[in-house]
Amino acid sequence: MSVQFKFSEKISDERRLEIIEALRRAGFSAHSLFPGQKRPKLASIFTVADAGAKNVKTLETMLARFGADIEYVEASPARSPKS
Amino acid sequence: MATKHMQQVASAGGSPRHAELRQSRQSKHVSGQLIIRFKTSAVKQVAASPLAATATARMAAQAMPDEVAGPLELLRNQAGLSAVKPLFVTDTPTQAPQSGVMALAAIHGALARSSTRAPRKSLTGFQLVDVKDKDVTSAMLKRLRASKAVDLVEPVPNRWLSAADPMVNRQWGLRAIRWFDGKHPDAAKLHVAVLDSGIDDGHSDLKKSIEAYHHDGNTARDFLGHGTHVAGTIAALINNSIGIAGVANCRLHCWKIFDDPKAGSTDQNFNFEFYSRALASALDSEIKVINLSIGGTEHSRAEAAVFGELADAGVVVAAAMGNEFEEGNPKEFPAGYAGPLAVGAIDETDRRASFSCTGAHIGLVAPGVNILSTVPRIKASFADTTDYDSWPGTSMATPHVAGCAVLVYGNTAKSKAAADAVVKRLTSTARKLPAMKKKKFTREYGAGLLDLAAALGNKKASGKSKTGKAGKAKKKTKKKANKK
Repeated sequence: MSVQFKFSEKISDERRLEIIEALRRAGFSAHSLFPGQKRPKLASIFTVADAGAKNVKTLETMLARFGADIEYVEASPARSPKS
Repeated sequence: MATKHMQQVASAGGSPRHAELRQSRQSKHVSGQLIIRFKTSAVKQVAASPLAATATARMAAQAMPDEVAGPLELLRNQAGLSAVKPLFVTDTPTQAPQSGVMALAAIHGALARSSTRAPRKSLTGFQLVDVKDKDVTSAMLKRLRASKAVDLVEPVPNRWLSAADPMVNRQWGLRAIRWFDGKHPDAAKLHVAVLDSGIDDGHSDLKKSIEAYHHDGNTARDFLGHGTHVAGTIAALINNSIGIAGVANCRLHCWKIFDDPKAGSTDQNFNFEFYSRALASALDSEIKVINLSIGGTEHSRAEAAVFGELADAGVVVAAAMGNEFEEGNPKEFPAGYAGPLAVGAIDETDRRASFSCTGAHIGLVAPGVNILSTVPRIKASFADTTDYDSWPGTSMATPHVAGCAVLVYGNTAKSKAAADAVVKRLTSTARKLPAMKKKKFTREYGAGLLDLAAALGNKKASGKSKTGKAGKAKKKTKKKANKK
């Protein structure tokens, strides 16, 4: 499982780095879900890989501190083959 | 409807599609040969004047009736006649014709044997004649046919080993979507992405269709077999004398979005991060269609965002409706997002498959029960056999739509308008099924059954829908559904 969160498209790169650094200090490594994407809607979505269900709550709480700078936090959805 | 399918089974090999594939390979006639049948009376007359082994050319000429000698002379002088062999005569000549001057004696012998050695009276007089092909003109054939001693003159019909896929007649799904009816555009330069459990990239019915296979961090093996099955329905090689035929001869970009199983685990290990990368890779590439035979009940804003971008970028996404109708019929994603064309499954009687989920977001239906396709050469966990297997699922219906979508998209430049037009075309030409009770759209069947021939504008289209309306209806209902 991984956790995704989206930065507000309005915030600066410095602010993004500040939040990513705060996550790193808390033990979470965040990186772009769509590396190299120029499209703002996709470029602002980040992921924290291998985050267990427990960590989803922790991340939600932590990212909530950044208010409107974070649009949403969600766990990765489950998908399965349909045969 | 079942009866109709049975009739189609019988006629599949003689369809325009088959004929087109055959004709592209060989010329119709064997060059440098003609079949000539001399009249029974003429060859009888030749046989009544046997030649001694020591006969001279003059003696051979004298033994040949004038009406037989005439056409032979014409063939010699104008078409470079080099041999005459009796057809349907099974025994061998008692003496080999001698060289040079004996050529006429050899012809005499051939004619005589076609009279005395043919196994039936109806087979007497037939000769296989070797000539110089470039010298055979229609005027010369006309003159030969006018000869008193000649019954028939015709070129030798060509025959060749069938290259048709031996299992194609078991692919009822192709008949149901009218794949056999009419010509298809060449899709050899069109690209489709399959995001699934991987692919057996060494499968002889698939390996030449694979443009790229991404399985970063995992082995190449398709442990489930699911991706290999889906890929076969889209792009198994057509007319390669092996197995089945895919809907389109397109290029496949395969992404293994389920990680290798961990020891002792049966989890499917969906890799959301790799899946996201795969989806994004289609945005600025040559990929025009994505097949997603996957689903789940959780909505994701991150996932929805990429589908929005894919729609804007002109990528058609075919997604499975899901198989959980009998487990509460949940709305599943990605089929449930705005953008993807959601595909339900029908069986061989044109009824909704009992498992196929329903809903306002459904686009159309396609064959999804007992679908024969490729599976890995090494036993996979979803497969009962190796190489080929028949499976049910909306997963199996979806690649029929993906394959047709790329054929309809064709060489049109990639754009949102073009992708929207493809979706509209597929839904507006979908065949209304009896179970839809004359409605343009139902939650069970969407706009109806995928109809490739109608979508490509081939004649004898059976689509009864009025162009555009079903597509519009679908779009409206989908927008509504996504607002909820």
